[in-house]
Order: sequence, then C-alpha cells, then structure tokens
Amino acid sequence: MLHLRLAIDNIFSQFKRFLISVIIIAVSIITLVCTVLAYELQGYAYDSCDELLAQGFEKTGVLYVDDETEHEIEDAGTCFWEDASTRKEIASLGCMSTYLFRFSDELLNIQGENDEGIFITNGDEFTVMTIDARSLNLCNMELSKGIEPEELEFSRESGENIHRYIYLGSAYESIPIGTEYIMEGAGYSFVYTVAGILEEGQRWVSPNLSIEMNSTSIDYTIDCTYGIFCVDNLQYFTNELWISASDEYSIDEAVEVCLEVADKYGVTVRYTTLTELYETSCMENVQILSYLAEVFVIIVPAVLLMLIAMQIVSMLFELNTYGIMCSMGFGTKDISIMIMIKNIIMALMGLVIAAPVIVWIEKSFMKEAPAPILAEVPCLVALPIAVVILLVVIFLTTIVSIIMLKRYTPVELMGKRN
Amino acid sequence: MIRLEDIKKDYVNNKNCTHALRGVDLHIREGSFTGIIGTSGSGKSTLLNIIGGMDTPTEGKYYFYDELISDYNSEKLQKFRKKNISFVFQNFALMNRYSVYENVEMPLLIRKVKNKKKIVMDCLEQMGIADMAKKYPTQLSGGQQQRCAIARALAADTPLLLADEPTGALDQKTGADIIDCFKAVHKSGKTVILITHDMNVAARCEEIIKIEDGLIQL
Ligand SMILES: Nc1ncnc2c1ncn2[C@@H]1O[C@H](COP(=O)(O)OP(=O)(O)OP(=O)(O)O)[C@@H](O)[C@H]1O
Ligand SMILES: [Mg+2]
Repeated sequence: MLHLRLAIDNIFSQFKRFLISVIIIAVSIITLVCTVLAYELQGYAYDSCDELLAQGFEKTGVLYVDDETEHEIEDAGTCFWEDASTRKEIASLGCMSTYLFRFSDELLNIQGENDEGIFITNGDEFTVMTIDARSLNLCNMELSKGIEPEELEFSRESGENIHRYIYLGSAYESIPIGTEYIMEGAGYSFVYTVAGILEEGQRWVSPNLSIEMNSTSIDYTIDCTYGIFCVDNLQYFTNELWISASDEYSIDEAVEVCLEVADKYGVTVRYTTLTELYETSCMENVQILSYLAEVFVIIVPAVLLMLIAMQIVSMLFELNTYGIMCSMGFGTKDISIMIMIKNIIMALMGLVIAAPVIVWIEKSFMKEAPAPILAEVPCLVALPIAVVILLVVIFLTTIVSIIMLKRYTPVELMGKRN
Repeated sequence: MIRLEDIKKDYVNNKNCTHALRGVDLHIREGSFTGIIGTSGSGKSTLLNIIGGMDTPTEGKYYFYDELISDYNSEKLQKFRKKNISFVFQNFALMNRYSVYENVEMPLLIRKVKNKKKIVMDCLEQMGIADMAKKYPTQLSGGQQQRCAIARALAADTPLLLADEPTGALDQKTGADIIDCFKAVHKSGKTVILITHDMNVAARCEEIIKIEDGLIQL
C-alpha cells in the first residue's frame, strides 16, 4: 500500500512526464501491433486458400472454355467437360457461381440476419451458390450432419421434375435433413432437397478468385455460416471451370490432359493456375506487406531500447528526489518498488490507450483484412509480445534503479551542494 | 549519545585523494544543542553526513549509544536513519513537485504512522506555515521553505536533528527566526547539531565544535 501510494504521488508530481511516457508506450504498442498484423497478413491470401483447397494452392487452377462459338460448340464444350472430368489426372473439374434466387421464405429469413460477406439477401431474393457435384471436392468440406457429396444420387431425367440437393451453412442447423423446397417455373419445377448441414466455421474459396486476385483484397475465402450451396450434375455449359489435379499429378499434367481432350472436341481452352494468378496480381501487395514485416524485426528491439532509455533518463532526472527520500529514511528497496509500480501503471495505461486506437486503425484502414486475423492477431500474437517487451523494460529499469541507488550514497544522489 | 573515535574520510577522485576528515574524536551528549563551525572546505558537511548515516567513514569508529554505526551496511544505515535521524539542509532539499503538505507527510509514510494529517498540521502550525500546506515549495520564500523543511524533520519525530547551514541561504533576521525554531525543537527534548558560518548563530549554541582542515580544534 505504501509503495502504491508513493508511486501514485510520484506520478502526480511528474504528471506531464508521465503522460508523455504513457503516450510513447502506447505509440510503441500500436506500431508493434500494426507490423505484426502486416507480418501475419503477408501470407494470408496464399495460406488460407492453400489450407482450404483439397489439393492445395499449387494444384488448383481455372480453365476458360472460349465462348465465341455457336450452339453446336456449346454441346462440344459439354462433351469436353464430361470426358475430361473422368480422367485420372483430374481430382475435380466443375463450376460454381452465385445467383440470386427465391424458393424458400424459411431460408430467406435466416439469411436475412446476415449482412456481411456474399451470402446476403437482396429484397426478397437471397444468394445461393450453385456448384457442380464434381467440384464439391474442390475445397475440404466438413458436414455436421447429412449425406456426403460422393453419396448423392442424381436422377438423370430432364424435363418435369429436376432434382437438386442443397447443403446449408451452420446457421440453418434447425432445418432437418431431407426437407424439400420446390421452385416452380413455366413448364418445369425444381425440387431442392436438403442433403446436409456444414460444420461451423466452414469456408469456401471465393468465386471471384477465378476472375482475379487483385491487389486490394487479402482474403479470398468466404464464410459459409449463411451459405446455401445448390448442387447438381446437370451438364449445362459454363465457360469457367475450376480444376484441381489428383494426388499423383501436377496441375500442369492435369491441364495437359484437358488440352488434349479439348482438341478432340474442337474446343479452345485457356487456363491459368492459382499460382500464376497469385504471382501476377498479388505479388506487389505481398511484397509491401513483407517489407513491413521486415521492419518488424527492426522495430521490436528499437522499441525496447527506446523505452528503456526513456525510463532510465526519466529516472536520472529524479535522482535528487530519491536522495531526499533516502535522507528521510526511505531505503533502496522502497524506492525501487515505487519505481517498479510506477512503470507498471505506465505500461497498463499505455495498453489501455493503445487498445481503442488499434481497433480504430483496423476498422478504418484494414477493413479488407479477414476478421479472424484482425481479432486474433492483436490479442494472441501482438499482446503477448507487447507484454513481454514491457516486462523486460520494467525489469531492466528496476534493476538499473537498484544499481544506481546502491552505487551512490544518499549524499551523492542529492548532489553535493552544502 | 554520539561518540566518534579517530574518524577519517578520504574522497578518491581519479587518483586525487582529498583527506576531508583526518582523525576526528568527538562526543555529543543527548539533549545538547551543538554548533559546528569552521572555514569552507574544512570538512563540516562530511562530518555531519557521517553522523547522519548518509555516508560512511573511511576509517575509525562511530558509536551511536552502543551501536557501532561505522560497521553498518547500507540497509542497516537506512534503518538507522529512519529511526534516529532528520536532516535540514542549506538548500532546503524539499521536493519541489510535491506540495508542502506532501513534503511534510513523506517521512510519516515510511514510518507507517497513524493519524498523519493531524501530525502534519501540528508541525506546520508549530512552524507557522499551516496556511501554506497546499502550496508548492517554489511558491514559498526562503524562510518559509526552511520552516517547511524543519516541519518535515519535526514530523519524523527522531531523537537527532542535523542541520547543514540551515541559515546559509537566508538573511540575518529570517536566520534568527529559524534558529528560534530550532531552539523550540530542542526544548521539546531533541538533540540538535547544526553547522554554521554565522557567529551570531554560533553564539546561541550550547556547545561549539570548531573544525579546521579535517581536525577538531580545541
Ligand atoms: N564527493 C566528494 N568528492 C571529492 N571531494 C569531496 C567530496 N565532498 C567533499 N569533498 C572535499 O572534502 C573537503 C571537505 O568538504 P566539506 O563539504 O565537508 O566541507 P565543508 O566544511 O562543508 O565546506 P562548506 O562550508 O563550504 O560547506 C573539501 O575539500 C571538499 O573538496
Ligand atoms: Mg558544507
């Protein structure tokens, strides 16, 4: 109690200097958190996709089937697709895209609660992702319940009753497996059967990834909590197909096979691998982030040294006060504990000031960055680093103060003036 | 109360050795009012600091009652100071960023005394500066600052009060008032040792020790 009281008195006696120290500590923490964020973000675009894609980043790509042709070639495209997808070199070959649909108010109401990401409602329509059964294994998919995609049975008849399956995100947990939704159109009706509920935290690669990896976004995965995946194996033509290579084969070998098959059906196919996309459009962004990350290596020791120097200098300013306290009967221990408590209060205040600023920086400058990183990195990575730095600073300043106080007699501390 | 036997103090500064005290023998009675006089550089402050446990002698024995203080380490010296010693300095040695009240309260904090407020106000009252409790030392005149310093020494309630040229920075009249304050403290039963240059001040001491070139002159 005595030492806390002394520390608080001491703080108030030097309030301006104390405030400046607190601000410097806060600024150091903020810089630290920002560089750690940059460090964590630099690999995120790659790592998050790599983890999510069943065959990994390097074995995945996109085929563009050229569309300048007439109807007959469209059939050729379909034939190409059907043929190519059976080849052993290819793990998945399929399309996916988002549409605005309306077939169930029940689902519409649940998705209406979501206002982030791509699965949002628009008026009385809501977003679904249509996906080919053969590309469902593009990403690792975990079900909390329901039928695995490989076990789905599709009836091949076209016309009257076309059967499709839907997989729902974890927000739709309350909906029983097997529930049917019917969408009627002129002369046809689609039946959608709920085949499964996705595990909580399931993500999917963003359909936009096939268009470009631009240099402003960092996250190319999407949250599937409110996701609705419509699965079919209808052979309708699409000019953009996701491709991934089988375990034993490289993406180049898989693409090679596709080119051969395309030749056979007289279809023109272009392709790009994710690695290529990444290198052409994201590299700049990744470079900048990695420079920032390198700065991090310099910033940490610099921050450390600056804080220690600052604390020691401010202690030197107060040697006279410590000398006077000694002449009144205070001991080295009392004064050291006082200095330590003062530093702890300073560090805590620095953290308290830094926290809202960090949140603000994240909200205004890093809103593109993935939420999990923004939430976890400052708390799980940067905070421990900051705490360790502050502890080192507190420890060293206390040690230095003890050495100083032991080294000089009270008379010397006061400065000889009599 | 205080017995010094052959106390020597050398200051060694990059090969320069100053013999500040060269064998001081001294006896000071409990309850006395002693003045130390001597020319500048004769070793008065050095002697007082050793008596006050703020510095250690290079050689010799310092007894406080029966305790051999000259053998103490810094931790024991601190306890000794806390229990027995209060200082008043020529430059007042107040903590300028603390209020008058906080300055006087400081020695009570370390001594874990109860009823601090009353003691502080009593001491300030006794020194006639109770109405300045909330001010800061820099807002006081020299005489008032020295009264504050004496109030602080008084609050500590130690048996021995040491003053190093307490009137050195003050004019004649104010200096005389300050000596009155010391006299009052002395009357309340404390032992007072003060250093002075001023013969008027020296004349008011019960006993006078003259020190010259690190040695006591009889
Ligand atoms: N820290 C120190 N280092 C080196 N020499 C010192 C130190 N303190 C004092 N001295 C020397 O010791 C001698 C005695 O000093 P002291 O301060 O005791 O004198 P004093 O009698 O108090 O003088 P004054 O009346 O001017 O205050 C002086 O020669 C001084 O130069
Ligand atoms: Mg002196």
